[in-house]
Amino acid sequence: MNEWLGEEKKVCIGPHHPVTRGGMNFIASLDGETLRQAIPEIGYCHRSLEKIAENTDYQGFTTYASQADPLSPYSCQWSYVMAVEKLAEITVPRRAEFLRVIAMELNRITSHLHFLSFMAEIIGAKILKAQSFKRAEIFSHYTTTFCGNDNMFLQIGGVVRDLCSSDWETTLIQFLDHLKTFIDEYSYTLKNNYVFQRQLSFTGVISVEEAIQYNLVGPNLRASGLAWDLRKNRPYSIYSELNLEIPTCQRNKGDAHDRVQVRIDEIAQSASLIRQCLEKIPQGPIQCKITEPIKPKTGEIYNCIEGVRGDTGTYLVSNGTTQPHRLKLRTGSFSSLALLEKMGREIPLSDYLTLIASLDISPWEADR
Amino acid sequence: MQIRHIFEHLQKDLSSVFFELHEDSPSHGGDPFILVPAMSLLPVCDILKDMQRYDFQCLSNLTAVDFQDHLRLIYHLFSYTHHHSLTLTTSLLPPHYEIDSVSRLWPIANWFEREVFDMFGIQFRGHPSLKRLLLPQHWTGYPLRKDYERMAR
Repeated sequence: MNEWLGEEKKVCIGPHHPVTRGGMNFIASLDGETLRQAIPEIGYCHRSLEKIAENTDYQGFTTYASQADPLSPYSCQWSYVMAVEKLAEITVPRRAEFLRVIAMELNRITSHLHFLSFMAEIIGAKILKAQSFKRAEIFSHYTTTFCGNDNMFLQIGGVVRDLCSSDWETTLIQFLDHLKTFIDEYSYTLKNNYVFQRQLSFTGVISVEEAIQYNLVGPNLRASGLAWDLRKNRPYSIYSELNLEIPTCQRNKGDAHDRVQVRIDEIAQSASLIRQCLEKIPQGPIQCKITEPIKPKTGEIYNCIEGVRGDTGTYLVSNGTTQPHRLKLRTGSFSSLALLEKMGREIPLSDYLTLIASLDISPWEADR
Repeated sequence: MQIRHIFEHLQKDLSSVFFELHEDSPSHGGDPFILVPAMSLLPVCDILKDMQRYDFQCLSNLTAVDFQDHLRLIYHLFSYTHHHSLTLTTSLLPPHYEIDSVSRLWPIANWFEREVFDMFGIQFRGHPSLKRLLLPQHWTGYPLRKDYERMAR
């Protein structure tokens, strides 16, 4: 081992590696077990969605928008749909807004459960991994029963499907109760298990200043100690009518442990939002009347929503025709990756891998 | 602060720079924005970031749009202390698509600028390592320009 030290070696972590979850590459300069420098390389999942948008009509792109991130299809889709609605001055029926929130929060729970399962795998807690994954699958099932095929739920002017049946609602609420017990267990393990503590506490510490400079958003920003949530601070849709507490971590360390804890709290928060929505949901249409093809007036708009991985922004430029002149999707994973370039200096390799995992990066969303 | 107030303060703070405020009109919808000349972008950004009154610590988005006769750069700024946001734009005329980099002020701009360079071919002066981000290094052409030949068609 000793003869390897003092000599830098270049190693590629990825594009296929357990922590990269899809396709991204880190060119690492290693000195023994210490990482001297890591350069993230992205673009493996680039599907040129922004170019496609310029050749598709407004309603047609909603399907593509959901494909920006397969793990959280509604983040980009909602952000895009809302931008078009604002520019074309379309008012969405109230019932549709409630259905959108339910779909979004179900999606948030599923994605966070996938994250918890992924974190457990990185740490080596195989049973916890399997348990989280099983619950994530059940939630996927609920989402699919409700929304149909993942990528076609939201559309400009409303949603595609209504709530399935009262039976669906009852079982969903029962399962939300069950989920509460599960996340309490996970939270307990996170706080008290030696291996979790050892691997996550004080690993990959990100200060608030750093997080803001690198435009870190969503759960990662909240884990660094800044209580900022668009659903609460700049409420859109019907979030202002719902009771919502911004989940921030009590520890305020900004390490991997906090990032896991914040997501656990968010699951509880989303479950509460779904319950509130199911109680308050009004009767009415789920889609407003729009004239096809949609032609928003000339102008540009930047619209942000709180997606699963933080602020998901859509910048849309319209020139008054049926196709966008320019569309840009701004996602949380992109900025997390930019920060990883800076963080990968002089830290143990294993800590860096935990840091990558704890940021919950989706390469599809970063590459678009 | 509303964008109108930011605009008025900016005019006082930097009287040598010509600012233009574009607001909503019956024919033109969407967000209001402030247009600055490309050569004064860096001093304006300096003030917007460092002056307590504006305090834009965060660059939430940076992108470009091709309007055929010119390229436009769009900076979306946000302040967590004042909870206000600003859309700052600047135009670049052909053939010199070149502008000062703001990565010194906002580190995230490093990647945003690399992406804009990758897709539009705008050169950023003073950028630490300006190379393609999403496309392979050997790629030719800038795909998000309107004159880019679409191979799929």
